[in-house]
Amino acid sequence: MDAFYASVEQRERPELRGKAIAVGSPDKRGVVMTASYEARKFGVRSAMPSKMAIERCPGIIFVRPRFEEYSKVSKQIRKIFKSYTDLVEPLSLDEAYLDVTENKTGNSSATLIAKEIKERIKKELHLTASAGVSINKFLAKVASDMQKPDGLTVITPAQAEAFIEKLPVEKIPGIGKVTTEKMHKLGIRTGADIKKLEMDELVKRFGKSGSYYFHLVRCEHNSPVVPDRIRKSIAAENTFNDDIEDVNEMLSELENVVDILAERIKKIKSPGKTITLKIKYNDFQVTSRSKTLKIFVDSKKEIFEVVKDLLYRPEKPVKPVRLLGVSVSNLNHENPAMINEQLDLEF
Amino acid sequence: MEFKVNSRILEKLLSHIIPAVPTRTPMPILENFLFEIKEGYLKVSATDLEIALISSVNVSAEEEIKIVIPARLLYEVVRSLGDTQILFETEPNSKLKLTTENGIYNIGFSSPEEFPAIPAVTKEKEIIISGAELKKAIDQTSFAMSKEDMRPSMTGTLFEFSEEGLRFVATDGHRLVRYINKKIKNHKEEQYIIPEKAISVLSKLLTEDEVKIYFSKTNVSFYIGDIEFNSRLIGEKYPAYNSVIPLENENEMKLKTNEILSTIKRMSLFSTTSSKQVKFTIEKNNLEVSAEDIDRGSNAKEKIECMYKGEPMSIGFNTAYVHDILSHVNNEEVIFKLHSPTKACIVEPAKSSENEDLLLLLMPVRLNN
Repeated sequence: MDAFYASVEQRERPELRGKAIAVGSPDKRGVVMTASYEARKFGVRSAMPSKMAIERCPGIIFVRPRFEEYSKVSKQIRKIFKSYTDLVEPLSLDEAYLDVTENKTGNSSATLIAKEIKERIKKELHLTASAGVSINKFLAKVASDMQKPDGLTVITPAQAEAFIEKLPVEKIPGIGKVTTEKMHKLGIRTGADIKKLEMDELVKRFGKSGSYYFHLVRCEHNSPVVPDRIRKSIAAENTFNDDIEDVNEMLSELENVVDILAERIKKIKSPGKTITLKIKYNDFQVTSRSKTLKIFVDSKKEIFEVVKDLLYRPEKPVKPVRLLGVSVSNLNHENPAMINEQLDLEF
Repeated sequence: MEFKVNSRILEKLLSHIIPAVPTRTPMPILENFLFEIKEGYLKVSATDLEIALISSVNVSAEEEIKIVIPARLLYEVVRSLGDTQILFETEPNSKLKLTTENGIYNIGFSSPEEFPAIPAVTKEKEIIISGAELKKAIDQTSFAMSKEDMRPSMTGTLFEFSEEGLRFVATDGHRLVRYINKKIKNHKEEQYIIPEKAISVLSKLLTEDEVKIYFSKTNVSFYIGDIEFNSRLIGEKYPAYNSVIPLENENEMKLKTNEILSTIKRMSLFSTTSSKQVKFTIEKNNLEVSAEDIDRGSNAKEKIECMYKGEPMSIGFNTAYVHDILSHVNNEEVIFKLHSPTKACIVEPAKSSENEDLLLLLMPVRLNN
């Protein structure tokens, strides 16, 4: 979807249409979640500190996010997808992979299906979407980002290899800032540069991802579209207005975070066994510490006990802390009503 | 140095010692047998530092010697030979040469300095017990030892001496077994915890023969025929198990052991793999056992006749635990003593022989309804 949160807000509130808006918080530590295309013209981007957005685009209108609304629209979009194929793999609220090799319409052209889906989204939901059509998930995603908004880009099988060769490495999903820099230092700038390297070399330099890159540039990326991806973890975190140095203050903030997390776990009804504490320092260095328990937990009390322990182990945070987060993974997906508790002898 | 020994005799000896040879160890020296010849006896020892096994056999040898030899290689060779005489000779290049009628086998040996000393247990306090009785006690209890090392004391079996008798206790926190051999009485209460590994090795070594047991603060020694079996003790306090044995379980249900065991086996096919839950619905002289697996959409229930004195009750258990417990009730009839659906349930044989007492304890699974 194009500027999803912002577009939904503009659709709901006519007074925002045609204006530079940002969904997010204008607070001094806030960030822009999504900027409307009007704001993007001024260089406002997602994940940009709100302060910078205001500098670049004075008069930008900040709108508080309303996730329930976005989630509702997301479901409507998914319903449209599902009328074409059951192989829908959501990436986020506003992005999904569809495998239309075999589909419910009998239409064998993926391009025509993409066009039809875009039209239906526009007509039924009054929103615009950009689509990418290609031979695998990786190329489809790259294609969908090429012409925005309201774009449709097709990379045909015949074009695929040449396309990848010309593709700058930073456009490859999974290659972020750090890897891009590392590649540039090694003189790797495009897919063609990656292709020159042997598998061994790539794995040596980039670990497991090396083999992913190796296959990617040879159009051998064949991971299937997995519908209803099972949730692997659930998290809550908080960025503070001011960095925290006092451990007691961290504990009290963590208590709030765990409170929210426990609520979320109850909602999805999947208690978990592994608890991870994430600490982001004021210099943006991120560390995490985790512990795996023998039993599934979902209560605030149980999780907080572990979190407390993790905060001190191996040692309490050494630098001022900017963000604290807690996540629970190793989730139990069984219906919790069926998890019956084996009682213990009380020694 | 040379000596002769029959392959079958040596095989038997080595087979008793090999359980103490660790399969994976950071100390390669432990993968060896210690071979000692002294005063006409060949003594073979092995240890993994937790347990140690020693045994000896009479051989005709002139000289004394002490060497270490790769345990598995020697054992496998000797085991695969037919019934034959083996001549052992030490060669000057640290080779042990085995000669049989048809073959010559050279095995490198090394000097014994690095081989760890096996802790000696003083023979001050001696307990004599029949091998069969000790085996029975172990077989009755060992299944309930904990496999998780959160509480190290529970990973072993408790040997508790008392005026009542020698009590063997094992628990993993969900179920508990207490077996008392009333023949072995001691005026002083003493507790020793023997690790799981030692229990499992011991169970295989025991025969009808009498066993002599010696305890020190840190170790225990069992003398079984020619074999000396030594183990480290778990140096922890055993949980106060007496405090969890309920005294007021007023609801009593008597059943045929085979019948309920067979029902439980079928229910385990139907209970959910994760919870393994089985439900007992008990009314006057009627027990209904049921299980269901919602994920697979299957369920089952059976009715069993029983004698029941008490309030109607529904109580849940883990099928695997009930199965374990019932398989260790050594009587045709079994009694369940219940208090409430969330309190420990006592399981006992309806009759026990004069010199023994068996009590099994099972914590229920909380039912959701």
